Amino acid sequence: MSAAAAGADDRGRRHAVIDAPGGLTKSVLRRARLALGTLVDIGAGGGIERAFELLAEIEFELSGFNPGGDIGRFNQLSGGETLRVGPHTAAVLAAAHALTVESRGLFDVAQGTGAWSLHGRELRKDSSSARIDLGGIGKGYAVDRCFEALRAGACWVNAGGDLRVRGIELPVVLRNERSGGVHPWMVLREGALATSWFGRRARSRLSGRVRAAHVSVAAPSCMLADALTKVVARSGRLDHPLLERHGATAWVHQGTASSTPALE
Amino acid sequence: MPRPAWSLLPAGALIAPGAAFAVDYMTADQAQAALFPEADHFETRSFTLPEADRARLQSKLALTVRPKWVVRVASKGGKVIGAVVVDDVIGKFDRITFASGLGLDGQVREVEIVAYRESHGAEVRQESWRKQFAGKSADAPLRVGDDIANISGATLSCTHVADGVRRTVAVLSALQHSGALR
Repeated sequence: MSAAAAGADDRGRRHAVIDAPGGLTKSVLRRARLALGTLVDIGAGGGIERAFELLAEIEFELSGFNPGGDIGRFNQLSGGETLRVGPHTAAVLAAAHALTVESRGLFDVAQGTGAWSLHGRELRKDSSSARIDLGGIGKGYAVDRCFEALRAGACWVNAGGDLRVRGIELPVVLRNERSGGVHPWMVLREGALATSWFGRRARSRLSGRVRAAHVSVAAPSCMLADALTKVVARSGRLDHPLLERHGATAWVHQGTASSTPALE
Repeated sequence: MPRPAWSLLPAGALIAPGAAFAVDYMTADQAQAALFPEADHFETRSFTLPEADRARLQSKLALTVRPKWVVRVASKGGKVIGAVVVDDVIGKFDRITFASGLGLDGQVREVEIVAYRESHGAEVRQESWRKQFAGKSADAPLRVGDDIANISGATLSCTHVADGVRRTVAVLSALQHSGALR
């Protein structure tokens, strides 16, 4: 992605024409909308409209802020009550449960508030105090589903830093959150990257001596990348065994410095 | 701590010059067509809200409402069907240009992001930086940028966009009720 120029198709819509690796020129339409509480940027040869519709459907189901969605309704249940959830909620919760087991509780969508269990599409509130928040995994899941709705070929979805890409070299830049400005960091060609902020006022805390930092994880899927940032932050380990098991790599950024196990 | 996992590279090792980037997603003309695909004509009109209306909207929305508005009035077969406003919000380090619209059936149309500008930093607050985009962000876009912002600083700005949409819809609704959009 070394150069870009503007073009237009016969309907007058603007394209970002991107010089892809290997001298191939691929025509990618680029659009952005507000979704998942952030700016979602999609580039693809087609399927963008459907991808945005899918994002809205998933967000409705998964958002804890939406009292009519599955998670909003679950949090209002009394102990022992059961709720039939949508396919997206069931898929995310099943994955979340597996990660909780694998990480021995480091990753936990209930954040220690209480027990829940999933039986097919039936979600049971086992303890009355249980509250679920899919903030640590839902955005990554939504990015993956939305990505799959895009036309085959070079494409990407970037939901405020949780991103997935294939078939194109995507330069990823880091923003200095204090003073503004961005600097080049890495190029992602295939796979997913998620970045989470951990600090005093963030929902999740870092362990170890670092009080505030961004943690990035690259993984085959955005859901895994998203969830594994929490495992890295809560364990304080850039070499947590779950990373290798899932083909993932982690970085921590402070200011403009980044570190990885390989760079240390 | 099992190992010094959080030890960082010496400060400065990965410091690169600060850069800005800009993405133009569509022109204002494309945005109006995306919001009202059924329209066969758009007319750009300027309105000044009467001070009483402006003050009433401002207090109702709890947002600053400016008096002057440029509205793209959509029509089909000679009949007005809705209106579009292209507006900007300025976030911490960025500026988002968005288009939102209201159908005369009262239906709020999908919001399209027209452009995204990331500043080098502090200059976002400077008038000169803001001015370089004045009247330019939509119809005469700057070069299309390629970069993808990784860190989720746009989140806060999205709240501003949502407020901006609320303001646009309220202003268009007031203009419609006053008969100005006919």
